[in-house]
This record gives sequence, C-alpha cells and structure tokens, in this order.
Amino acid sequence: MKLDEPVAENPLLTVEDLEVGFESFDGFAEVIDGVNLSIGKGEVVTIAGETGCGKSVTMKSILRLLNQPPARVNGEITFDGTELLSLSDREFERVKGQRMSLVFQDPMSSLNPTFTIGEQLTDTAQFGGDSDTGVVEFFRRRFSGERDEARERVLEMLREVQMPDPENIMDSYPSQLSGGMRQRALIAQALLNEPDLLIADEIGTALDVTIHDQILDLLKDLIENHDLSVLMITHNLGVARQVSDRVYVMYGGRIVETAPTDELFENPKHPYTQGLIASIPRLTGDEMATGIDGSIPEYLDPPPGCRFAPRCPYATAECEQARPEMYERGPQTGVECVLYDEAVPASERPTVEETRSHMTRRPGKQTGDD
Amino acid sequence: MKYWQYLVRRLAGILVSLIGLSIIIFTTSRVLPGNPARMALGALASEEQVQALAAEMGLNKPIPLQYLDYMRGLLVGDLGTSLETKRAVSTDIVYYLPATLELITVSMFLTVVIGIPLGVVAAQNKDGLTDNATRLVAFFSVSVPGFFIAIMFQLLFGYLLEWLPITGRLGSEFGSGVSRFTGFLLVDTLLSGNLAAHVDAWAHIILPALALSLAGIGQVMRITRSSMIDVKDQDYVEAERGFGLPSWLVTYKYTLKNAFIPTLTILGLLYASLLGNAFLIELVYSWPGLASYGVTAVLNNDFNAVVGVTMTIGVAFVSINFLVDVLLGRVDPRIRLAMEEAT
Repeated sequence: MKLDEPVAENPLLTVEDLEVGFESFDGFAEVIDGVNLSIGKGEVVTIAGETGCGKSVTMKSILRLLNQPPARVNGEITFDGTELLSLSDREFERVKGQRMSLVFQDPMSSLNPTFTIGEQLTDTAQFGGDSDTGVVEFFRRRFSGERDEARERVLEMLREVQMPDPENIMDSYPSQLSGGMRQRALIAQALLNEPDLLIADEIGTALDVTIHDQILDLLKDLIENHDLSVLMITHNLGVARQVSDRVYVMYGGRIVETAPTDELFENPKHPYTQGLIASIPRLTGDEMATGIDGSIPEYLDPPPGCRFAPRCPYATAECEQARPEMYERGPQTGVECVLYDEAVPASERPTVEETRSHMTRRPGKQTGDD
Repeated sequence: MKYWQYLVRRLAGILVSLIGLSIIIFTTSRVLPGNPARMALGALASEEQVQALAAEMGLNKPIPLQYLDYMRGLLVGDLGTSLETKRAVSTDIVYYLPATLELITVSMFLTVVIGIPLGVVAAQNKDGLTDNATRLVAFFSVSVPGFFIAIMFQLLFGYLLEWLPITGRLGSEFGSGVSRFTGFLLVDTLLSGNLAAHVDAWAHIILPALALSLAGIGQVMRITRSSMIDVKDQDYVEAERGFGLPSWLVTYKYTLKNAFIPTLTILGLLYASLLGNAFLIELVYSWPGLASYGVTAVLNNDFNAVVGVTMTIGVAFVSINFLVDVLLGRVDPRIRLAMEEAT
C-alpha cells in the first residue's frame, strides 16, 4: 500500500474511456463521459464527488449491475488481465463471484429480512462464487460436513469484524440487529470468499458518526489483514481521507482530479476539489462556506466544454467551448483544468482560500452535518 | 409477549367473533318471512298440526331463549334437525363437508403448484413472451365464470374426448369396495386398499377442481409475479446475486420466500371464499358437497341447516385465517418479532 509506487505497473482493475449513457423518453443522457481509472494491487482508492456526479454509475458499470438497455456502456474494463466487458454474462458472474465483492450502501436493506444471519452468510460461504451449482449438488453439499466447516468460517469472520456475541447473531434475523451490527455482518459476508477486490458503496454513511468511525477503523484493519484492493465510493471527503491511498474526484461524469490522498488534501488543484475542501466545516474560523453555488449539470444537455464551467469562479470563454486536457499528468496525479496548462504562470492558479472567498458563506459556530 | 401468546390471544378473539356470527345468523334465520313448520309439513297440513310442530321446535319462544337453547345444543354437537332431509344437521354436515373440503383442497393444491411457478416464470421474463402469455391466461381465467369453464371441460374432456367422467365423485362400480373412514374419497380409497378406486377418484375430482381453481390460479399468478418483481429489485437480492450464489437459489429461496408473503394472504382468502363459491361447480358436476346442501337449505327455508352450514363455513373461514397468521409468522420473522416487541 505504498503510494510512491506507480500504480500503472501492477494494476488489478483498470477502466479506460468508460462512457455510459441512458436512453430516456427525453433523449439520450450522457452520464459517464470518458472515465479512466486504475486500482493497483493492495491499493485503496476512493471515488469522491457529490450526489449525482456518476460515482455509482461507474461502480455499477464495473459490476455489470446496469440494465442494458436503457443503459449503454462503452470502453474497456480490465480486471487482472481479463477484459470484462467482452465476457459472457456467465463468465463474468464467475469472475465477479469469486474475486470481487460489493458492500452495498444501506446496511438496512442489504440483508435478506426473512432468513437468519447464519443462514445467509453460511450459504454465501459455501456457495458464493459457485454459481454453476445445480439443485442436486446443492442439497448434497448443503447436508454434508462441509456445511459445518462453512458455519465455522462464518463464525470466525463474524469475530474478525468484531461482531458482539456471534453465536447468538447467527440465529438472529436482520431486524433484530442494530445498524452497526448489520454493517459488520455485511462486511463479513463480503469477505467470506476472500475477494481480491472489494467495492464499497458509501460504506457506513447510513450510520451515526461514532459507529461510522468504528466501521472505517475496522475496514482499515481488514484491508491490511486480507491484502485487499478496495474501490470506495463516497460523497464524504472525510471518509476518503481516513482510509484511502488515492482519491479520484469526480464531477459531472468525468474524473476532474486525481492524486494521492495527502497530496490532494494539502494541495488541491481543481477549482471543484478546492470548493469541496473549502466546504468542509472547520472548528476554527468565523464563517463557513455553505458549498459550491449551483448544481450538477443536466446530463441530457451537458455543457459542451468543461462540465464544471457554469459553476466555476475562474471559468473563461475557452472553458465553455472545449473539454480541457488532463494536465500535470503523472502515474498517480492529474487535473482536468486549463489553469494547469504549462503556459499559465503558477501565480495565477487559485488556492483553496481564494476559492473559499468566491463561495457563499454564513457565520460560523455551526456544526456541519457531515 | 411471545408469538404463541399472541396466537392464543387471537384464538380468544376468534371465539368472540364466532359467537357474534352465530347471533347474527341465528336471528336472521328466525326473523326471515315464511313459517318453517309450514314449510316442513307442506301445504296440506292443518293449522293445528303446524302449530303443534312449531311448539315442538320451540318457535313460539322469544328469540333470545331460542338462541340459548340452540347454543346449549351446539355445545353437545346438536345443531337441530334438517326439515328437508329429516336428519340431524350435524350428521348432514359430517356427510357433505368432506366432499367439499376435498374438492377445495385439491383446487388449492392446483392453484399453488400452477399459479406460483407461473408467476415466478412470468417475473423472470418480465414483459417477455412468457409474461404476456401468462398475463392473457390470467385475465381469461379471472374473467370467465367458473361454471362456464366447468361445462366446457365436461363437453371437451368428458363428452367429446371421453377421457374423464362427467359427474360424481366415484364410478358406481367402486361403490361397495370403498369403506367410509374420513369422507375424503382420495384418502378412503387408499385406506380401503383399492388402488383402482383411488385412480377413479382422481379422475372424478380433477375437472371440478381445475374449473374451481382457475380464477385463483390467475390471481395467485399475478400477485406472485408482481411481488417477485418488487423483491428482485431489493438490495439484498442484488447482493446475493453479487456474491455469486447460484441464480436458481437466489430466485427460489431468497426471492420467493419474501415474495410469498402477499401470496400467502391471498391463498388464505381464496380457500375460505371457495367454501361458499364451490356451489356452482358442485351443481354442474353433481358433487354431493356442503355448498349445494347449503343452497338447497336456503331455498327451502330449512333454517337449522342454514345456520349449521353458515356456522361451519364461518369456523372454516376463521380457522384458515388463523392458520395463515401462524404461517405468516413462520415465513416472515418481522411479523413475529414485531408481535413479540409490542407488549
């Protein structure tokens, strides 16, 4: 998990030129517009951005969870040397079931309410990734000694995610568990088949802050112990900072900036990233920014140039005409903003403070809700 | 509160509603116009004879007293005498009820084994060919009256193709070879060790049962389809698929159990409503069941029989609903847990 190693040398998952659109009655909505990203082995990567920026659509296209049509997915998604988009559904299910796991956003709705935790998790431990298992084979294995082994494995995993009283939890139904316990059960379920890649969608955001913190700490330990590569999706920059090695900032269906986590927070470059960081409430300071003015672009008719231009305090006519290049491109960095063209003197590049001064503010002494 | 305590409480409630039902039915049967004693004796009987019979039947007493007499009899299984068959109503019910229950049970069985799988398949192929075909069948089966289908079945399978018998419960040649144990011919033929009669009993019951079940099959299919589609989109089903569980397991274990909850409620209501609605089918197939006995009783103002049949259907109705509650608690732990939490 060292950040100074260039990720490109040993990527587990790469996404190239991903384009995702949706047919709708009002026309064709171009949501994801040329997204490139990669996750190195053992790396924890976050996609951050506000609601509606395309994070979940990116994740769902990787996992083939979008119905096509109405969705249309183009590009190249490579997982450990295998091109995923060209696989048949069956082949893809096998790769996904055996090597990738997803932790869903809402722990309240992601466990089956009519089965005990033990039943669902033991089935996952025993048959997860074996989507070819037939009925006869299933019953033969279900009522063999293998079941007890699987049960043991589940108990062990529940202990590892620090579930209180795991024996008892096995016989409980999801509705008897608290939010934090359900989240732990879900994480345990996701790790049962020793995946290489864990995709976590807004993990813990539905929980209260202290539990959320515990879950993130737990996740950090698990990532270390299981040597996981992780793709996290979050709208919460604090989460990104707490667990990830590298952050992709997404806006309007494009990656606008990427950098190792520390670098991104110390020296955010893109005006959007700066705006996001400036909006994080601080305990010191007399006033706080209430967020970046305006809202995400209309995907049916997106701005022709930089999609952030209509909200950007530094936008010029040039920004509105053509999509900017990725500048300062390194193995782990890049920013899609004309201000970082080599021709622009460094003194003209904005700082977080400068961006903050352009934002609507209100008197401080308030606590943020994130 | 434990779930069984809740069920006990439900049972007490059921008892109260049955008493209420008995009061209403009893009073209605007594205040209806027409003199039961006159009906029983016929037009030729003299006024004195009618008066004497009315006194003997207790019809001269005030209605509350008559009701108490009736309830006293009910406790020892005496439902009075049928004016039509001249037998004890309880004897008649014991005789006719199994035929109807057998018919309804087979129909319900058909409803479940045909309706639910078709609903699942339709949901799997939402808006596909199978879905549209089953939709058409469902509309047809719900909208065409059961008795019409019953007659068409008789014409086709009984008369034209001669595959199956047209009426009755059993061929006359088996009458002596089958003893009556339970009144359910499918069971009695087996207990008598008469396999040929058992097959014949199936041949007799299959057409009326199918005709009776068609409307229910349509309903169950549509309910199962729509709740399967709802449940399929739930996060937990997507997650189970995502973990690479076999897709048949996700569909038939993890999705269907959740989708079965609304279907189960419908099945309970269907079973109870068939008890009353089997009449036309019983008539078409000359099926000696409780529904046709009850309707004959109503037409002849045979008030003891009417009250007896109504109470029987009432008891069956609440028992089925109670059973559905027990099953719902088993299928959906949230219901059980909610009951246990609410003191």
